[in-house]
Amino acid sequence: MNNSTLDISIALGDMDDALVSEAANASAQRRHYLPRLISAAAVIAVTVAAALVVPKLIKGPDDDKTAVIITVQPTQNNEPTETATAEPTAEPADDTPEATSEPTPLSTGSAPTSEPSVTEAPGVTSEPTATAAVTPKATLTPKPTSLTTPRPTPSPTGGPQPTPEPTPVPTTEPTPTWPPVETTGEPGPGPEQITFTSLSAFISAVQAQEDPLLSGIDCYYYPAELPSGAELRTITVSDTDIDLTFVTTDMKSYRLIWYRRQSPDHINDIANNEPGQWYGNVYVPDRPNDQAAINAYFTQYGVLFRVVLSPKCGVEDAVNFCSVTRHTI
Amino acid sequence: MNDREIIALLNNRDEAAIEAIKDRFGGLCFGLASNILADRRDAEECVSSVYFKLWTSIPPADPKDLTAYIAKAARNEALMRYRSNSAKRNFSAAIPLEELENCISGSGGAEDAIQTKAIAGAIEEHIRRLPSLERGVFMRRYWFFDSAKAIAVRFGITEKRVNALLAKTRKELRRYLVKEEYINE
Repeated sequence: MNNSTLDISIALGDMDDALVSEAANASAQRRHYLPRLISAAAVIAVTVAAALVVPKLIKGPDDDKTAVIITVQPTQNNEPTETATAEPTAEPADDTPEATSEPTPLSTGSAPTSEPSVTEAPGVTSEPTATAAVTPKATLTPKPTSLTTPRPTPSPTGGPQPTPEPTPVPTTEPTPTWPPVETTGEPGPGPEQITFTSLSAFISAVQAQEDPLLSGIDCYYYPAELPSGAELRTITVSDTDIDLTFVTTDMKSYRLIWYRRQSPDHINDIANNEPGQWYGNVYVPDRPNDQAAINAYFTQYGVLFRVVLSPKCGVEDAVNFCSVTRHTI
Repeated sequence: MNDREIIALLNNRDEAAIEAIKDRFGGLCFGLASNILADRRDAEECVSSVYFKLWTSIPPADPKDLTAYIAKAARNEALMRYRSNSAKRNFSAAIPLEELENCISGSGGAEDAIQTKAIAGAIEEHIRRLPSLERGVFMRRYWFFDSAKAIAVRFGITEKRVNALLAKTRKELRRYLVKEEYINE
């Protein structure tokens, strides 16, 4: 496929909101039609039934309709022919969805193009970030003493992948004693560091700024707790780094994803990750008590980590993110 | 919860905004992402990123049409992933994009951003003038990347009719682009 087609398709993302909304809500419009069609069909059915049945009921041996009317509905003066000749098709014809409707161009005056910077959706004009020079692979350090057995699928991009040794320790209760292995040459956590044992404790401490080490740190998150299936054991913050250790708690697989952000928009360059393996900044264990450790140094734009449950959980349960930024970097 | 209430929650940094967005727009985002990326996990990732982008972009953004804003965010995110991954995988969006390519071939590569924007603008202009059914079918196919079958169900018409409408619209679009000299014959 020609790249220009994709470019043009991406450029179509800037389309007028009215056009997008109209198409997005097309199903809602149809839903409006449905009950009307059903009720119209019911009217038709009842009317047709009446047209078929009533004449038979009223048809006496002498074909004297007036006399039979008195017999069937002695208290009413309805003329049976009126019922039989009703026109049930008028309403449904109006209610059916438009087939080849007349051109109904949308008003061009309604396009809120006067303030593109306000209404523009995120990422509309940004360049693709696939080439961003983030190399988190080198710092993602699965603990060799864990039960982690990454699948052998090679990295599509050939980056230096963590290579945990396939020597599982037969313990089912991992202890948070393993230090993240530093492989990048970046300064690791020195003596000046603070450790938390839950995400909520970390967040509370950051919000309260209860330790000088946390000054300048800002974090936002959703939700405050990780999804079930993954448990954060420790989160350690130093001047330059943030270290996290996780452990699975059940058979559901989850993916742990993190980024060292290199720009304000840099949150999505996790291309080519495959489930069931270590790949760059994506960790996918497939057994209980798998352990994962992250050691990331802060950039001025912070660090984002996220736990995603998959694939058994619906998308509604599958998101957790926390972005930590140290403004003093 | 209406659009303004959701935006107010976002402005107040209230996490309930994400729940409300998931309730109202989760299906829209996931449907769009799945149409483009095919792989469920990729689509989930994409949707998560969209939520995150909404959280970080509003404020300061104050979208007047939240449905369109979120749909655009989801589409952009999915297409960016598509672009970075398309050399290695098959994606659902490949077929509609090829259809579109046949329609706009001759554009000279559209290498510079200005020409790309100009062609996109011309396509939008043409779409705007279409009858509502044709416009809806075209948008669902080439903006939301729905399958012909899904479009047929949505609009209560046959799949064959969808394909016929799409072919007719593409033909008209090509004629329009040639006439306006955006592409060569």
